[in-house]
Amino acid sequence: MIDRLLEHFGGENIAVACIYCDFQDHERQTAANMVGALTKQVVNALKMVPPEIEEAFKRAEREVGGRGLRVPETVRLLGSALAPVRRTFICIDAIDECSDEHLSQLLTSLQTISQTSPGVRLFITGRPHIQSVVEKSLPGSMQIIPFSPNSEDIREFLEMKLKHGSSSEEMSPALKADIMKRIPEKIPDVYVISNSISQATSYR
Amino acid sequence: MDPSTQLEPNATGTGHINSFNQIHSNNTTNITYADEKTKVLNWLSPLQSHVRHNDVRNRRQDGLGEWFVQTDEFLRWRDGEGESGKATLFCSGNPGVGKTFLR
Repeated sequence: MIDRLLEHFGGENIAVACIYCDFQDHERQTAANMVGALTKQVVNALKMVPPEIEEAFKRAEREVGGRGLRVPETVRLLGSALAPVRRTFICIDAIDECSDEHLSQLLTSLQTISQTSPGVRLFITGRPHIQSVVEKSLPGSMQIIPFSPNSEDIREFLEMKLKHGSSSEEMSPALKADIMKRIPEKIPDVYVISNSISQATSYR
Repeated sequence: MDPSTQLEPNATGTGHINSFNQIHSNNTTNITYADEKTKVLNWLSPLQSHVRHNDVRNRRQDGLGEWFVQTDEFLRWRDGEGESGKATLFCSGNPGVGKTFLR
C-alpha cells in the first residue's frame, strides 16, 4: 500500500507514514511513541526539521534526564511536521493489535490530526470486531471495505506455496493439480488454506 | 525495478530522502546537520516502522488484492481532496487474509 501510494504520487508534495501494530511490542508501542513514529517519518522526508520541532527538542534536551514526550505534545509536533506537506497518507496496520490502554489515545490523536490537517488521509487495517471502536472515534468520515482474497489471489498464493513448499518435490503433479482445482472452489479464506497447505506439505 | 528508487522526492520536491529508506544523511557533506536530524528523529520515537515495512516488502507477492485498489472506494479515498471523499478507509478482515501485504 505504502509503496503503491508513493509510486502513484511520485514527485508530488506528499508523505506516507505507517505504523504496524504488534501484540508482541506493546511495551514500546505506546500512543506517544506511535504518534511520534508518524512524525519521525514525515520529518525524515522533509528537507529541514520544522523549527517548532527543533525548539521542542532543544527544550527537552535542557531538562535533566531528557523528559519523554507526552501524547498531546506529539500530536502538536505531528501537526507542525504536516504543515508543509500537501497530502499525507497515514497507514495503521492491524489496529486491533494495539493495546487497549493506548488504542483510545491513538484514535483520539488521529482524529485531532485529521481535523487540524485537512490533507491527511487514513488507511487502517484490522479485524472486523475493532471496526465499531474505530468508527466511534472517527465519526462520519470512515469508509469500510471488507477484505477477502478473490479466487485469483488464492490461485496465486497456492502456486507460490506449491512451488516453494517444503516438500513440493515429493508431491505428484496430479496432487498439485487437484489442490489447484479444489481449494479455490471450496475455501474462500487464505488463512484456512495457508494452514491446510502447510499441513499437506509437511506430511512425510 | 525496486519502487524505492522512484520515490524521491517525497515531501518537498527538492530531492530529500524517503521515510522508508535508511537514513543516508551521514554520507552528505553536511554531517553536523545530519547528526542533529538523526538525534531529533530518535527523540521523536524509538519505533522503527521502516524495518517492519522492508520485511513486509520482501515477503509480499505482487498482484495480491489487485481488485482492492481498483474499487471506487479506494480511488475516491486516494484522490479526494480536502473534504471530498471519506478521509479514512478501514480495511477489515481476519488475520492472514493478506491485508498487511496488500500492495
